[in-house]
Amino acid sequence: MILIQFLNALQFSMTLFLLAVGLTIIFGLMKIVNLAHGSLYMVGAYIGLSIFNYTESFWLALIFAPILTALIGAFLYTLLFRHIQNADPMKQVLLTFGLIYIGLDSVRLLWGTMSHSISAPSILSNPVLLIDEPYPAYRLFVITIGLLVLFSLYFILEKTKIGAKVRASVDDPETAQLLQINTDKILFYTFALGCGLAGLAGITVAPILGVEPGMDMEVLVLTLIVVVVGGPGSLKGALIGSLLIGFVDSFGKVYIPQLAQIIIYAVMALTLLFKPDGLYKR
Amino acid sequence: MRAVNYNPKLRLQLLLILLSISIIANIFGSYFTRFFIAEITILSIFAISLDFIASRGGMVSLGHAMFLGIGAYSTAILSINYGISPLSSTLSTFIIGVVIGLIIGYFIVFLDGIFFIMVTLALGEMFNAWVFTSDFLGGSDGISGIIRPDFSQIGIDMNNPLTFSFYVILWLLGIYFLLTKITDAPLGRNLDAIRQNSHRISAIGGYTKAYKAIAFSLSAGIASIAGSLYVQLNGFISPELTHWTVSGEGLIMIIVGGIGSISGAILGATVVHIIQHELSNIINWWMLVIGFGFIFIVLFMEDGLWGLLERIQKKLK
Repeated sequence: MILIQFLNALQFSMTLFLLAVGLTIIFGLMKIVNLAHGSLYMVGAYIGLSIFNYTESFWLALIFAPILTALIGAFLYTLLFRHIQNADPMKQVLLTFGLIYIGLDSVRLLWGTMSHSISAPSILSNPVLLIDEPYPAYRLFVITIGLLVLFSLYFILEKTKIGAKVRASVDDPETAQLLQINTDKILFYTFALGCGLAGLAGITVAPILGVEPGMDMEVLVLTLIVVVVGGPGSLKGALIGSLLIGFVDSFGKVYIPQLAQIIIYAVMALTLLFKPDGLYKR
Repeated sequence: MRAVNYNPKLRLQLLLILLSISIIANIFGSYFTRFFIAEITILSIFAISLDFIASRGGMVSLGHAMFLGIGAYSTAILSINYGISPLSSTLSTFIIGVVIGLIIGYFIVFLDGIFFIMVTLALGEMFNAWVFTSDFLGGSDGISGIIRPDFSQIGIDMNNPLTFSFYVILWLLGIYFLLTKITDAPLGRNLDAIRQNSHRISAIGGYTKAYKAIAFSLSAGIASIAGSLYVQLNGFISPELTHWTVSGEGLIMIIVGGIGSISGAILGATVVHIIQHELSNIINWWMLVIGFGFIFIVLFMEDGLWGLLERIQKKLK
């Protein structure tokens, strides 16, 4: 029983991680909080739904939904985000707030207000036996994807030259530019990557939670909390934050359902009181 | 954010124009128009509360719907459970809002920019989550059966939408004059100085934190009044009122109207609410239009409608 709880919490944490890592890198590089990050997650799930309905292949949806979401992100960056980089935070936030409306209505007009479901591929649809309890294989698959993304991002950021350039741009954009690092280009690609990861989160949870309008709002606030708790702008922060919030939320819902919603916020409030920069300061 | 919009004459002129339009529309309008005017007036009070801290204090709150909710729920509880008269309930909610605002403000005013926005957002959502699960507050059903103030002894029937609209307009005027006075008083001056350079104010021995917390709590109190009037208008409260998108829409109103000129917030609330309402009657993709509208205004209309009015006024001279 406790093992099942643990795995559910881990799966939820990994989904949060996919969302938070994009948001936190964009924040680190641009100092912009993209409230439309949840909308990209929703759009990713819907694009996946269409690909799935059209080709009847979950795997194609899994590959192309994040890529198309990343393209939407690249488009948004070129059209909007690039121009508001140094604007007042209130304007940045409200611009992304406008995007939420556009995202929600586009989804409603293109796919309708009904909720849809995507079935997990047949290999993953049967439960596996862990010790002696059955557990959905698909959730293990989501955990695996989360860990794969985590390790590849860690490898890219810490061990490659491109990663070093990204870190330099986060730490000190001006010096990075002086050293002939093209920060604009880095911003463009990381923004698109962050959006693509949101899309990946969307398509991977679709077989678990379904696809419906409004799914953007549910995760948005949780993701923001993960970023604030973990410490904005860092990969490790996003990981610590997602694990903490994912586990507190999942176990809270089982053991103290009355307070589950509030505990997460309490965790955030305490973090801010005692560690205003987040648990992991870069 | 640019320096304070300081044109008291235009501010007063705009207020008088909006006031006369609303009075005429209220007298000659239908039942529905009158209700609509009351609704816009209450939203204006909410927008003013956001405008005050955003412009004077440089604090952008994405969780102010919480205070709308505090005002609304405490009015409901005070008048239903404790039998306190509706007018006293509204006055009490102001005090409740101020006290809660002061406590919250004390802990969060040191945060700036985006962190302040995120923390207010999270606090607002915490309140929203709590309201939804609280049996005492009616959970997702909310609370109904809230009555309006009773002035029948002096021959005024508040259940008539005509008189209730005038009643909320009076509240708006009172708050407007309070805030214009504060802008010119030491509190307003200090806030301006803190927003422009808080380090320098600390260096000359000013209490930046205290002033910001006081401004935040005052704004919280005003938002609570808006919440209180809102439930008296509708007779019921739904927890949806405390969702963070309500705060976001309030911020959009002040962006549309122009930040820093209290009258601009009223204009913004009026325009945004009318557009939202009319559009949703005509087309079913109104949210798309509104989303693009928000983005357009943020990108291209730096000072909102207030800036437009200022430019027109300069040309006329």
